[in-house]
Amino acid sequence: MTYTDPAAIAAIRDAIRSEQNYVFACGLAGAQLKGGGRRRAVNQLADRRQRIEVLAAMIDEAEVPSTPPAFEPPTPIDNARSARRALVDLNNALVGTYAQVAATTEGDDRAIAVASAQDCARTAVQWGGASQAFPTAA
Amino acid sequence: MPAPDRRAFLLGGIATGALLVAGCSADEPEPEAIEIEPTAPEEPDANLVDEFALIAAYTGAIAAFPELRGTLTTISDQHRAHARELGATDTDLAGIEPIPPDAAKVRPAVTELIKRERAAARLRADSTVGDLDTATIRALTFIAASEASHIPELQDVRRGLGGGS
Repeated sequence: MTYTDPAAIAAIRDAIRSEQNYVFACGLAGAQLKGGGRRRAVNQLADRRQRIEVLAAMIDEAEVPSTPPAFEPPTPIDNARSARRALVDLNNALVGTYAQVAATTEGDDRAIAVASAQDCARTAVQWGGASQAFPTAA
Repeated sequence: MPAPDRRAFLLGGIATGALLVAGCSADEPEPEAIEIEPTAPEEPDANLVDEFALIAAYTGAIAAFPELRGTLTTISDQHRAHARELGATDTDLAGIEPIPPDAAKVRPAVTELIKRERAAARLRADSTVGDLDTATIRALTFIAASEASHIPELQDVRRGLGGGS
């Protein structure tokens, strides 16, 4: 379904931008991580790019934000600890972003948004964050 | 003519409608009959009932395995927050009786909680389907996400117990 409701378009665009930033952050974090952490970050690059494509298919092509040339993380990613912290925060922030997508879409698209919110909250814990009753960035 | 001070409410006809006869006295007009649409008995909210069951399971697990109090209390408190968001009152929460774990050992008891969380995350996600207001969808999405995040947290707890517990 292609959404024309401005609230839905705004929510989906916001999710695409947030996922684009997450892809950048995974790249930055991957450079600071080793072993399993690096592998997980690399795997998530592919997963999140795929998710961006799914989101992009929900709105008119002209509405899809282009990939920004760079991303400045809210806090510097300059070691393994800050890398994990940034990925925790970005994932927890994405839960709210996807909750808004869920609230403005319907059917399978809503189910995708809810599943994505769940995946982000789970991933935040896997990066070392603590669970929250209503996940949000620190 | 009814007695002067009579106050009566008559309810009937569950399947076809209810008839309410409201008060009268000597100088009041004849009772007025009001048709009331039959209402189905209010069903408890499945998500709220499930949150109560989760809280009860965590309370039972903490009582059985106090060494897990830290993490389990944190997660249990999050379920209390979910229950409040879904409409529970402090009285409701105070009345929850613990459900002891089926398992006598700690590791399978944590596995039980993981299974409960997995089912809860699924139920909450399924509950976002259909014609709901946006606030409800948002709340259920947040809760579904929170419950999904409890799974790896409990898996970490279980890993920390090793294989022998």
